[in-house]
Amino acid sequence: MRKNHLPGSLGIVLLLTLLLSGCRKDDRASRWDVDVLAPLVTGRFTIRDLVADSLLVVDADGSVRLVYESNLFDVGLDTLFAAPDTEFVYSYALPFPGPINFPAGLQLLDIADNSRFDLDGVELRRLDLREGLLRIRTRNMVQSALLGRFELGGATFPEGGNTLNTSAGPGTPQAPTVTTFTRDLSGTRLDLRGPLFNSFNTLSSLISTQLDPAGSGATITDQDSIIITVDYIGLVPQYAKGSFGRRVVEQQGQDLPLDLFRNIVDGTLDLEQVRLSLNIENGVGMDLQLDLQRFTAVNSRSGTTVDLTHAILDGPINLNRAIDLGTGPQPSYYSNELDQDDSNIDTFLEVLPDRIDYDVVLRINPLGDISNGNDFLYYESRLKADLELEVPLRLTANALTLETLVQPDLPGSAEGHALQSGELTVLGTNGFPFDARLELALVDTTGAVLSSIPVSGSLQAGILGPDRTVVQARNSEARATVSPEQLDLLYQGRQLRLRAIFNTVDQVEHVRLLEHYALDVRITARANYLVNGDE
Amino acid sequence: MNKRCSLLLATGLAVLCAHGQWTQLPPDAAQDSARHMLRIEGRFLYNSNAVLNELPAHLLRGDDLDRELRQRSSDALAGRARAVFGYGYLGRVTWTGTRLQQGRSRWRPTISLALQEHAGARITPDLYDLVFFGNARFEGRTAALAPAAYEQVRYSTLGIGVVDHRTRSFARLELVQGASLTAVDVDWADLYTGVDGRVLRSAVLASYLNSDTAGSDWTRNNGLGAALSGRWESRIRAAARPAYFSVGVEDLGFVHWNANSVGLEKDTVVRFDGVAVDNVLDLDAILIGEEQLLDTLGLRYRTGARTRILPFRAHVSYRIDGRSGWRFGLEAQYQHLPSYLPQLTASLARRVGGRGAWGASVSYGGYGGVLVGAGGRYRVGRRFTVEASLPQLIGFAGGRTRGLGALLAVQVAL
Repeated sequence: MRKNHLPGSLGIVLLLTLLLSGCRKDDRASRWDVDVLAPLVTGRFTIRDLVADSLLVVDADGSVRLVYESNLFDVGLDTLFAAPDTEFVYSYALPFPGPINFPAGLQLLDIADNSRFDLDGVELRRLDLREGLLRIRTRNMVQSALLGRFELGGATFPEGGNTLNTSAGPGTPQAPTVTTFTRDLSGTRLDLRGPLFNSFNTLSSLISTQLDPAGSGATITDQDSIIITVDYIGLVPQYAKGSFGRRVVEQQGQDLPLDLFRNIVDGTLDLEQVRLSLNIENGVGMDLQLDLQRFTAVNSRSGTTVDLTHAILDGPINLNRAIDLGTGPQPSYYSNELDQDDSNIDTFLEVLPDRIDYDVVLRINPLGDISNGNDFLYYESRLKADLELEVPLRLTANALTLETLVQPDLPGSAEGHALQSGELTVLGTNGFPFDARLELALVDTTGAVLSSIPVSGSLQAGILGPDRTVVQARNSEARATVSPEQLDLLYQGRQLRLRAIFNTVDQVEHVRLLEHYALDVRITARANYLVNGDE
Repeated sequence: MNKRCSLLLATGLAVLCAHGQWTQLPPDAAQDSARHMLRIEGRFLYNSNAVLNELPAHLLRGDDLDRELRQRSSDALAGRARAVFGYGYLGRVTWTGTRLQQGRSRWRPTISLALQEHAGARITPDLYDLVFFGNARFEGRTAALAPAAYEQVRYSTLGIGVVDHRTRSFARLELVQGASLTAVDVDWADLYTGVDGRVLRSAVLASYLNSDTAGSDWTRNNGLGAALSGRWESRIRAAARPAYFSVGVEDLGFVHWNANSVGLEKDTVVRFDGVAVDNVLDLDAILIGEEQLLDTLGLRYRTGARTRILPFRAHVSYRIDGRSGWRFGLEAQYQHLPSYLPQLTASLARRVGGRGAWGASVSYGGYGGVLVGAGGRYRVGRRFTVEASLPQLIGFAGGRTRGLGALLAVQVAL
């Protein structure tokens, strides 16, 4: 921003004004009104003030295209697969009253178990864990220390091996000893085919417990017992392979906010050309079918809606499964492009939507387990759909209205303020092929107009040449007169609503917007100011 | 300012000043011979060569200034190269003791405590119009704002010295406590206002100095200094009638304003087209706050101690004692304030009986034109004397005159 200074003479004037108003009675200083005339703001309005730089693409001839990209949906691991926390319990108790003296080193428990995980229709043969915990809790009521061994037959820890050793101190039925052992399963690979490699979701394990060989044995009755609880907690797959079943995921009533036209509150826009691309990436090792059932442009302000019509909405989109590279998925891609010739995408966009409502149905393995249990999923696997909207800015605008609400931080208060009334002059050098008319109004918090500020004049469009581009900018001005009553309203906290209403100079043929088009604006004020009026 | 106004009222007691635009009255020998004397004195004076009294009167009272009132002074300024105005007020208590050396010396001790403020300014007609009407009336042209200057000093003094009981010559050393100082000196300044306010353009060569802005009342000690006051009178023996010549100075000294004082010097040519904004639709940027304004105006001050001469007064006078108690006096006075012209005052006075005296004066110069004044004194009994002087009688005729002042005093012989 350019650095500006108000002339120092004004400082002198301010100073002398203060000095001359120094004599006062009680707390009140003399007041008098002065007519101040000064520039307020200078600035340049370009297409980049209307549309973010990141959305604009400039062609070699200076034409501007609006390219807007947005993510329609992104389905990840949590939607496609979840491994719930699972608990298995093993116990030992004397089957008769006893007591019996057991020597040191005696093996009390020796269980071979095939733990089965309930995965809601998913039949996994292999599960590599990214995160997760194995917690073994031993509750010992025997009067001897216990040594435990926990062997996961189908597991391979990252450092190799699959056996865990635990121990628990002596206890009694009245005061059992509880010992908890925890193992981080990150990086652990689980073979869920069971001991015969012909099953799924099954992890074979061997649990054994013996009295401490270094101890003195124990006298055991039927009141003494050993309970071992094994918990698999927070399992997050890095890789899963098996059959993920045939499922349907419905996403109804989804909405996609669209802030392209957020400042436009009224008017119509006619676009010469619009292109919309739907790009889908399938990083999941499953056959998928996407059914885009509804795609509706919604202008919340006007209540207008337009349903998109295109073949893409008439039938499902089949998505090939990704390829398992061993280290990650190689996604498959789908792309379809819509334009004004094969769809109503131009009308769809010309309602100036602030959101898009859509319904989508995702079918997983619609033809069943045709991969014979070779579906797969990586942690990084995604099913995502992106929209890419491209609009060359060749258009006609009819009363296209931009609105901004301002609540200026004015000096003084509602009870006393120096600004009494004024006239704002907007001096413009317009290089756009639009006429710009200004509307100013004071509105309440609901947007209801309390008072309109009359504006005379408009900023006239630049002059078009034979190639229908602006060859000469035009100077013009608009003036807005703010009455004392309207200033009072502003001081009472009302908002100032500024509307700029654009009309292309030609309402029949589309005009092209070039990057260098600019509207140079200078706003000056002629204000009646009451010295000491802020006090 | 309330205290200033209160002081003006409280010092509705004044003693006749022996110099300046006040009427010179013959001394009262009966009271002057008292062993101890206590004087409570006060005076104020406002004067201008152009600005009508109604304007400062309204400012003093805090009344609103309507356009007609402001326009009258503007009309009075029209055609002049400059307008000057100034004011001053003083309250003083003085004790004078018995003659030294057990009455054998001609010198008497004296102690004096005074509170005072003096201000003067010089402005151009365009600057007046700019302040009181705004810059809109200068649309499309340049307002000449210089040369201009303003100085205001408020201070108190405590002085000790000796007085010659025969000639009333005296010398007094003053300790000065500075309460406030404002000094603006604009060597060059103009302001061009473009049509429709498209641009403001200015060239400025100016300086500004202010004492500690945290406060300026009498209790503030924003600076310390010293000054010398004195008067020397001698009889001219060659004259046919008793004639006297005197010179004097009051508060010839300085104040060293403390390190919290602020100063600013501007020597620049600037152009303002408006605050440049990135997005003209963002009107929140139009109105800027005080801090931004200070930055934009370049009014960030530098702090630091400064030493500055007091607005001292100096005078030269001549008087002749005529027959039948008549006295004629002629005096020239100067005050060290911006654009103060030496002021000449002619007085004619006469004793009335053994207790009173009255006189009239005509002055020219200072901050205004011709002043026509009158004064009188009356002693009640042996001890109490009341004196009063009005240097500008016409000033009481209404607001559309220029200049106003008063002197009031009570003197007690102990």
